[in-house]
Amino acid sequence: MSFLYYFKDLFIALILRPLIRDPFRTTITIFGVAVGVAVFLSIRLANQQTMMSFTESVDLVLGRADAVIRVEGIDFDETHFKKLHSLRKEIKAYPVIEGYGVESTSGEVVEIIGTDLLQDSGIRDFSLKTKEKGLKGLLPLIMDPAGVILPEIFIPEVPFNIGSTLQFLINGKEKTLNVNAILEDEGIAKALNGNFALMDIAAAQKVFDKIGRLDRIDIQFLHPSKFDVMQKKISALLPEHLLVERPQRKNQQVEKMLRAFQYNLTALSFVALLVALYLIYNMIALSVVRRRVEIGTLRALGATPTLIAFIFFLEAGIIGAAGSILGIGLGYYFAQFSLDAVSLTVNNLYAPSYVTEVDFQWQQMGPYFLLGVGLSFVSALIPAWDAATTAPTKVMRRGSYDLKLFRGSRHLNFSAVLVFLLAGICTQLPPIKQFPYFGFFSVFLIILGLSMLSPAALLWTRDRSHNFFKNILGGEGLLACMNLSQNVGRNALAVSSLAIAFMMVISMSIMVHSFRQTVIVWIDQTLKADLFVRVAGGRDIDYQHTLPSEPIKKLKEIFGIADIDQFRAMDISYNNLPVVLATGDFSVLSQYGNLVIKTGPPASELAQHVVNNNRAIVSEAFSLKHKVNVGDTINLKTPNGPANIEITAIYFDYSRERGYIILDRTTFLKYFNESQINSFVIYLSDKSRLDEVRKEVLKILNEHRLIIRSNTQLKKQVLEVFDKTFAITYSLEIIAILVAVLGLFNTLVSLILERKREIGILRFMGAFIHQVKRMVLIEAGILGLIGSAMGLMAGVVVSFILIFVINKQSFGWTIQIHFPYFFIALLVAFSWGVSILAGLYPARLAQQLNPKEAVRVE
Amino acid sequence: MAIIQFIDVYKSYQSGATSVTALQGVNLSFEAGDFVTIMGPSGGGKTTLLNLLAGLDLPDQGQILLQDRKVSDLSDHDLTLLRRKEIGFVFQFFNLMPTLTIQENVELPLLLAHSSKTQGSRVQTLLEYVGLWNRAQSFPAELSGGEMQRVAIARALVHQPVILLADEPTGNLDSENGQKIIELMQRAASDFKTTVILVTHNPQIAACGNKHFEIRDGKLTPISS
Repeated sequence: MSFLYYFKDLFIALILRPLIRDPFRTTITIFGVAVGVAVFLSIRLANQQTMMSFTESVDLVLGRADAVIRVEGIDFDETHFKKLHSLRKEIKAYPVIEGYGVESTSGEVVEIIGTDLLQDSGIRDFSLKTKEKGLKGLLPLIMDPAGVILPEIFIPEVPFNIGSTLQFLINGKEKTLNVNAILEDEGIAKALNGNFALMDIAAAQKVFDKIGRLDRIDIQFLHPSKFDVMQKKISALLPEHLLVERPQRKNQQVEKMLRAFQYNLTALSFVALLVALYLIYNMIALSVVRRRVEIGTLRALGATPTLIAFIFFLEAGIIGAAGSILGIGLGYYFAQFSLDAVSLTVNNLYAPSYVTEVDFQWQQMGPYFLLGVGLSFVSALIPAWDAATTAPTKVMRRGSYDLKLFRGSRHLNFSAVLVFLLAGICTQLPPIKQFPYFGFFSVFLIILGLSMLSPAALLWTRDRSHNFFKNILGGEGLLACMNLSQNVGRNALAVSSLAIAFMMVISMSIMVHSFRQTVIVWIDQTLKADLFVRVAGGRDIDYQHTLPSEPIKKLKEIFGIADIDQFRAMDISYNNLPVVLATGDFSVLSQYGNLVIKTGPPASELAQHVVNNNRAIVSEAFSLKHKVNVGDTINLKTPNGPANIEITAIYFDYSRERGYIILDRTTFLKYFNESQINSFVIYLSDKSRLDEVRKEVLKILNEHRLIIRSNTQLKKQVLEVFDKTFAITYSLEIIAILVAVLGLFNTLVSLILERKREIGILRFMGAFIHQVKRMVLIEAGILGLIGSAMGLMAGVVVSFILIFVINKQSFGWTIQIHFPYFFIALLVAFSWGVSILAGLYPARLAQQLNPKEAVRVE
Repeated sequence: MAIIQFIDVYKSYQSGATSVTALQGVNLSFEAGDFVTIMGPSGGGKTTLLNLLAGLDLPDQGQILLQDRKVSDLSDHDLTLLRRKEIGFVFQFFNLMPTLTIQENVELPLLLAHSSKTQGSRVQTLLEYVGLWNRAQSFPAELSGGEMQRVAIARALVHQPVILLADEPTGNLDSENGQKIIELMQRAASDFKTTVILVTHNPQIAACGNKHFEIRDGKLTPISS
């Protein structure tokens, strides 16, 4: 117990009291840690909850299903359902229709499930509220061909009751549905955040024009059984193209789909945390320097090195704990913004995301608190070791002045070179399970190498520029420059953290700019049609919304139209990875359109290879992910039997990272019996007739709600989606720079406090106050310039890694590198300017120092 | 003509709740070329006296005249110029800039005054004078205590000050080196016609010079040689 009292007094006197007496720097450090923790936490939460919103909804909708029967991307004949009757003693089968409608008032997409309502409670949990009790209440649900059941918590802006009617846009047609019952807020009613509706299967088949068709059969095993055994038994009864899968498979597909995007975002958010930890190192290191005399005295009095180190660990722990707690609080506010940004990207590029509000559970924040505190302890390792190994006699000498100068470390420089070489080697290594682990590791190595080279960069700058500073800026310039080699540890850290944050900004800017320029060139070359038409409702990448192709043929008679290319796509999987299988009219494409071909014949010759042949073209992403090339064969399971398709060409595509397989319409119809289309494009023979043709199309297809966009409108929209996608990365970059500047600020303040005597001597020698201020600002400027320069060089290198390694291995895209020179120059100027601004307060502190107090020894 | 004059100077400081009288009715007058030593115990007022001489502080009562100018009439800007042009300092712990070479340390006052180009040759002259020109590119950490103090003296003289203030210049040196420093300062005072005011604990050091004083409890008393 006496030990605790002893320790408690030491702790209060040496650690707690100084923290309280230096509120400004303590607050800055805690705030920096808080921002790092908040950013990391909010991104993790956004990623987790986006995933959870998918998986929970899928689980709720699938209920207690042990297996799922479906054909990828399209519906199938319901007569297959009857074939399962022979297994009725082992399984119970539930037929399902699934589709999407757009609620007309709110414009929100609603997933609509059609099931056998009389039986469905066997597999799914739900509770109905009907107008009347018992069978009388259930009858309208089954008998009404336009009846729908809505969850109690449906779209907030849409008021309804039992008996209401609502308008939905389904496959481009307005349909009126009658609310016959309400799902109480439990079980399936909680799926998709309420953007969900239930119908009787017959009604759903009618509403979705799927008479005689099913989308899915959910299977429940009546006795405990092994999945593989049951899978075999069920598959034996069905044609090959009907897949019998585990219910979790859909979740696994979603997870794979989102993985690369989420990992990239997490890596970015980690940079902010890393930079924040440099702040703690800085703070503890300064604390050790300022407390040197006390440490020496304690050691002389019998304190062990372990005790000394422990005190400083605790200081880091307090800052880390305070920062983590504040960070968790800040994360609560950041989380909504992060979720909105992540959902926007996921919605635009991957799948509909229905999560709108953050589910922030305070009791689950423990791991983030521990992470912040744990990393703080790690940051304090080196300064605590320094404190523990401080020689008491050296520091107890009153007025002793630390004359030691860092002369450079060949070992450190050599190690940095080795680290960079290792980074280079890692960039050449392949992905592991489609994920660029080595690519990310190489970026981490570059960060490490940068940190190791910072001391050398400081010395190099000092040696090369001290004459310049001396001749142009006099004594204050010379001192600012030469001071680079004093307190190298902390200067190097401030410079590294600035360099790392700036590296991130530069590399992302180059990557995004290059990507954008590549996309601009690509859409200019690829989007050649004059009008782009699709069914209204949902997004461009939602292939559930279809319209019949028959009426489209009539459109060719409109004066001014040269030809029409019809497009149909479906999400399937190939080698367990999500892929888009699509079809178009290659005869039209070859004559009027264009694709940018990577390998194979040009677009103008594709028709002669592909039409009426078992051939396809694939996108670059598909070819890289599945390691296929021109001449290889891919095998597809189709309703009309297996299809062995030869790859004729590989083309560049940037619309979806999952990759495309594109068949000609003649081949597609041979295997799929699916005449519905998602969209079509119109090539005009007379471009002046654009508006008239638009009106004619709408008139002829007046039964359907359509979205018609011109070439210019579509290109603009593509770029808008692109820009919104990167909104969250820009935010993360700004935060990282701010935290790094905080680190620089902290370093400069600590340098002023350490150099009180030096500043006092300058005033004794006749330096004006403004010269002292100038010295600090010049020093801030030099540190900022070194950090920006290092960040710029590393950023260019990392941009190559991002474009040619990480992006390529994650998404399979070839991006042409373009440097936004003007923007980069602006960024460098901004970073440098902000660094000088960070010196303003420390400069003021320096000005206010009393020279006689600063120099006094006694 | 008196270079420095103190006329009935009083100075006090607040130390917590207590008011401490550092100087009480100090009167002094030093001529050009004087080598003055002031001896006294800790807390006697030596440092306060030096701070007032340097224009870093102002008296509560009385007048301080530096070359017939009233220090209290000078602005902070003028006082800084005064220290820049007319006063040199030598400290007990040398107070050299660790990141600058010896040559740059000596040159520093000229650089701050932006007169390095016109008076730069004095740096070499002074380093030769103190016998360290051959170490011009060394850093302070590479020098002994005595060598560092010699550099400090060179730095204090580079701008040709009228007054040289030395606060315990031998306090951190052994007796042999301390004696050498005092001899150097005496020679410099004579060669450069500089008035030297040196404060010390050490009676042997205090016996050097042509005027001796004792300061105790804020009162300055001349001691006959």
